[in-house]
Amino acid sequence: MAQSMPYAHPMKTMRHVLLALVVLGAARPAYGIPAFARKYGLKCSACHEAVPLLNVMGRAFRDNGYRFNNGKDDAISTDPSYWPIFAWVEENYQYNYAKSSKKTEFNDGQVGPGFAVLGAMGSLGKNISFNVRPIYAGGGGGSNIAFDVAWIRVNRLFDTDALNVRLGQIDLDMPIATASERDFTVNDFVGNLRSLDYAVPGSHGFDLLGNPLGVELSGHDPGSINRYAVTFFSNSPVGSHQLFNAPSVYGRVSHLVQVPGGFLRDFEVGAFGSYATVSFGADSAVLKPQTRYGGSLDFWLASDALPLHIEAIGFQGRDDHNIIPGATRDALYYGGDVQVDYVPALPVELFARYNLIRNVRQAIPGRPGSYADQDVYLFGVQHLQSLTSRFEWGWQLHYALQYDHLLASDGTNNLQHVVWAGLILAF
Amino acid sequence: MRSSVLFAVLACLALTAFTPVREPAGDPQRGKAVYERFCTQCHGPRGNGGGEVAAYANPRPRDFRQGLFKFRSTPFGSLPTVADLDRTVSNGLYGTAMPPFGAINPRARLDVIAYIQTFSPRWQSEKPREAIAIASEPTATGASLERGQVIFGKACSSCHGDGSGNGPLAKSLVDAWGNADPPADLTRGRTKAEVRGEDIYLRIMTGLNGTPMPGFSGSLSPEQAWDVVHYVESLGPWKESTVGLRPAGMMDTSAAPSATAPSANAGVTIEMVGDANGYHFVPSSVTVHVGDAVRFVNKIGGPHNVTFWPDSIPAGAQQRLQGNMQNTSGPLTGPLLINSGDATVVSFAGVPPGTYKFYCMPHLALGMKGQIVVTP
Repeated sequence: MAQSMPYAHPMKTMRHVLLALVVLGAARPAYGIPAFARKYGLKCSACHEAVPLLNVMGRAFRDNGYRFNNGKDDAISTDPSYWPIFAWVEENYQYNYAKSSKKTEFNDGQVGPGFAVLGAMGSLGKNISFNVRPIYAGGGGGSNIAFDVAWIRVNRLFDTDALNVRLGQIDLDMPIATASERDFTVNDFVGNLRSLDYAVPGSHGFDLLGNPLGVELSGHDPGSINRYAVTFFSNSPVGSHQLFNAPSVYGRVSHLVQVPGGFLRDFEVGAFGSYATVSFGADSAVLKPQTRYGGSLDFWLASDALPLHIEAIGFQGRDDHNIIPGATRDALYYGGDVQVDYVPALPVELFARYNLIRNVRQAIPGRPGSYADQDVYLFGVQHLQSLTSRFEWGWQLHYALQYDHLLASDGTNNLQHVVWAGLILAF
Repeated sequence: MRSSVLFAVLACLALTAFTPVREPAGDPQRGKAVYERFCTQCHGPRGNGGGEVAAYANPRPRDFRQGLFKFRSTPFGSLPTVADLDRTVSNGLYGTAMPPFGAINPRARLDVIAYIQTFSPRWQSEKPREAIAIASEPTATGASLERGQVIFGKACSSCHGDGSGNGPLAKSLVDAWGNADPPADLTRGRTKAEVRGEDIYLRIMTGLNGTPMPGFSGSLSPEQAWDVVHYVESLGPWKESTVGLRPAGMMDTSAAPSATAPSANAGVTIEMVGDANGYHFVPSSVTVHVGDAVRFVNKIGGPHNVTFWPDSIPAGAQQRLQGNMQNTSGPLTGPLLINSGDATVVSFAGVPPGTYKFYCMPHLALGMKGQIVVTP
């Protein structure tokens, strides 16, 4: 993922790199789909703990192929005014302060790059669901249009929820909070929004949050208490001519426990892992692996309707030394996120997150052990409200602080502060 | 890292192990927050079924203020049990705007049910009556389908017609809130809350409060109800469809004798009428003397019955009046008169003079009520 690129470039070009990131629009926006609220006559909060974070209801809806299976899913049974089309428009202001080699790299604010999405999402019938989400991202003196996701899903093969097949550019089945980007923005001046985005300096930019091309097999039981997903995907960038030269696989299982009494309302345990390959050689026949595996824990406390949600993710990453120029041994690191979301009253949400990366084995000899370690702190508040059943608006304000250990040219830490304020309109 | 993850997993398991498994009663205060998150868009913040999108919903969202709930295991007219409401919340109502909320924590569902119960005073003054037990299902056979068809022809076809909801009264049916309430199309193999035979059985026996669909628990035996279930399951692709058991030529409608025959002479007759002009007793008010009898006749639009309000008859009359009624199916509740011409007689011998107010249980919500003034 392009967010890791700043660590591979000289600091003096940081501004240009960041602007390029903005243009490339690498991260994934994710919001409520007002089209669904219109279709089913529900509030956004019915399916979102806080938009875009899905609650158990929304997750069961998603697992069913964005269907409630209540006889009102198909186009023929829905209101003629319903069209499975949605739109998001976002604009933001961000103030950035970055320091490297004990010097201020920049210290200014600007209206950030906005984006627009005109997507289509829904079900064509009992067995077919789809999601097409092109993004128009502007800013940085340029703009681009790219697909965030574009897939089609065959639901309930053999008439069972235990087997569904999704094909296309897919958002991998990540732990709950990670599956939805926290920020409104297409990108941010904070390099790694998630530890799962991390890439070892110089390594191939493998990213579990990168929405690769692939085929997913998934299944669940009623209520999505037990779930699984296995995705076979290409680790080559979408659009690459080497699309099928980097076969990879990702999988996740999870189990939700609904506690009948007490302060602890629900919790979920999950495990995930991936084995991605990078191809080498003239005929791309040599494959070298990148592995990620770990677990997640989600806790919902105090209230079902207005919960305090805590998610912790821990994982290990390993990149084969052949992928990293100059490396003599495999790179090994641990990563983790702890995220807290709290909805004191609809539609206000407070959130905080801490990401860390700890390199335990440097691939290139001589590098300090903590080289490229990261600590990222994020705090924010958002307010996202339906004005009507057909339109919602919201704002978000957050502050982020990122430390990149020993990455400055003089061997000191890089430091970034970001204050970000954004406005979203969703239809 | 590994030991930390292991510790966290073990901590979760320990929390599960030491958490009480007894399901707590719902808390309306917590339920209010659940309601505001999931329900207000349709049911409205005041529970009156007047949420923002209610106007687009067909059928309209439930107005909770009357305490009338369609899908129950309890007898017609009764409040539902919490389990009944939880079933509706969890499964949703097929073909309506009510989605299934089964994915949310069971406790949250209990909480929101407790909050919904605050909208109607009925929940303070009444308790749900005992649930109707589902009798063991006899084996479906061609004979049971034929018996069921006969009963269906007498009790159900005036609304449900041939099963597709095309009965002669279908277009005139309205619910307690004045909304058009067409009968279910039973040929689709699934209705709002009915998937399996047991669901259909309960619906036949309990009826749908607030609608013209009466409960037949007082007029059909369990065996007869199952016969009707088997017949209904032969009408479409039901989960336990019996279409393969249909005898040849079964589609012919057969006439059937009256389920309840008139059995007493009476000086005064009150006709029970349901037609395009509404549901009425004709006349709705009569005057008789102590010792007289009144004959109630199902004229059209049945099934009908007569039920006296215990608190709207003279003091001390209840026990005697109960004894003077034929084939009662409940307190001061006469039998369900299914066919046109079916009748029942209520004697006023030995009762104190005064005004006796009564209603038709299946059609109370539609204003079908009357009174008998008994003079010395």
